[in-house]
Amino acid sequence: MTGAKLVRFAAVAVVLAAYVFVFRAGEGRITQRLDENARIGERVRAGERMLASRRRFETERKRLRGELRAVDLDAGRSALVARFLRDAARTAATHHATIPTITATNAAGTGPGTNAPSSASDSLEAITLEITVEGRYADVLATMRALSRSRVLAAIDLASLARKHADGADATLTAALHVALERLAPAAAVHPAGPADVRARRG
Amino acid sequence: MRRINYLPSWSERHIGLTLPAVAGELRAPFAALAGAIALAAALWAIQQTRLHAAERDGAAYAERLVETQLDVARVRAVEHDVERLRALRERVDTIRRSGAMRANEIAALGNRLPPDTWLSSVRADRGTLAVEGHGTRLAAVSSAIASLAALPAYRTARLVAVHEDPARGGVTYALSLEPQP
Repeated sequence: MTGAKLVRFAAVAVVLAAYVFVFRAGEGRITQRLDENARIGERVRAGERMLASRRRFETERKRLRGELRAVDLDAGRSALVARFLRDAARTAATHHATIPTITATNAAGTGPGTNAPSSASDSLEAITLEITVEGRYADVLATMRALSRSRVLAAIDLASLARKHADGADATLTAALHVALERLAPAAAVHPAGPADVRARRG
Repeated sequence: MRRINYLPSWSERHIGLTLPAVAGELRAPFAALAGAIALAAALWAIQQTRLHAAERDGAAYAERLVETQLDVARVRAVEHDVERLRALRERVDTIRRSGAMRANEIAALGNRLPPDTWLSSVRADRGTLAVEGHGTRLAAVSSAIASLAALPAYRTARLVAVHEDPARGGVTYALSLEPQP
């Protein structure tokens, strides 16, 4: 009778041990493995989504480069200023205005007439000029509009606008403009629009 | 009557193994023990099969991940390039609109003035506009302040000075337009 009880007890113990050491422990390992698989699977799917959007990115990059070719971003400082002067003279003449003075302004610490990029992400640097435009009201405004639309990227800001002759003898106005000629900063201009290709090695 | 079986048992006949005789009352407990062991073995086999299947799937995923890693890095580089170009294009667009924006602000200023007031000069200093002009009478300056204060680009139009202008007749005024924050 004692032997029968002992064997029954052993059977129950085997079942309990199987539950604890085989089922529970196995479930833990399997769950851990499945979680790991889910994480890797998510990364694989994210990668596949990224690969699927490759054509879209390449098309957009091509389009953006095409749009940015409308402005001179990677010209040298001298060439940029020369081109701007030529464009400004033509623009003023087209709108019956005159540009009596153009002065390069000094920005502290960055060389004459140059403002360094304001942050690391800011890839443009500015060559600052002060320009005076003279003409009739509508012509001065038209010249201001046209100056910023030239091939040289020029940010226009108004410093002052006043009658040329304080007595009001004629309707000629004098506008003093702050102009910032923008170009890609040298660090960014190494590959201004080139592909940022990755030649990573496997391994 | 007691019956005795003299034939060899199944195990003796087929595998040549003589199993020890088990007393009748122990057969059921031993059967239960054997069943428990069989259950544990089956459970272990099932868990091992599932674990191996999960490991196989994991290995396949990892292999796929390694295969696509290089291409994904290339596409990511293109994506970063696109983001950089987008930001640059946005900045270029803003700059190319700057002249038109300033001209439109001046035009809006002139258009807002009542018919009996004129602008003599406009000076900009960090967004604040100092406006000077001439009016036929003091009431015209009041209308000018009200009109300019309603411009959406400016928060307030503050009177700086107004005084009689005997030389030209009427008054000259000076206003300050504070930009919106």
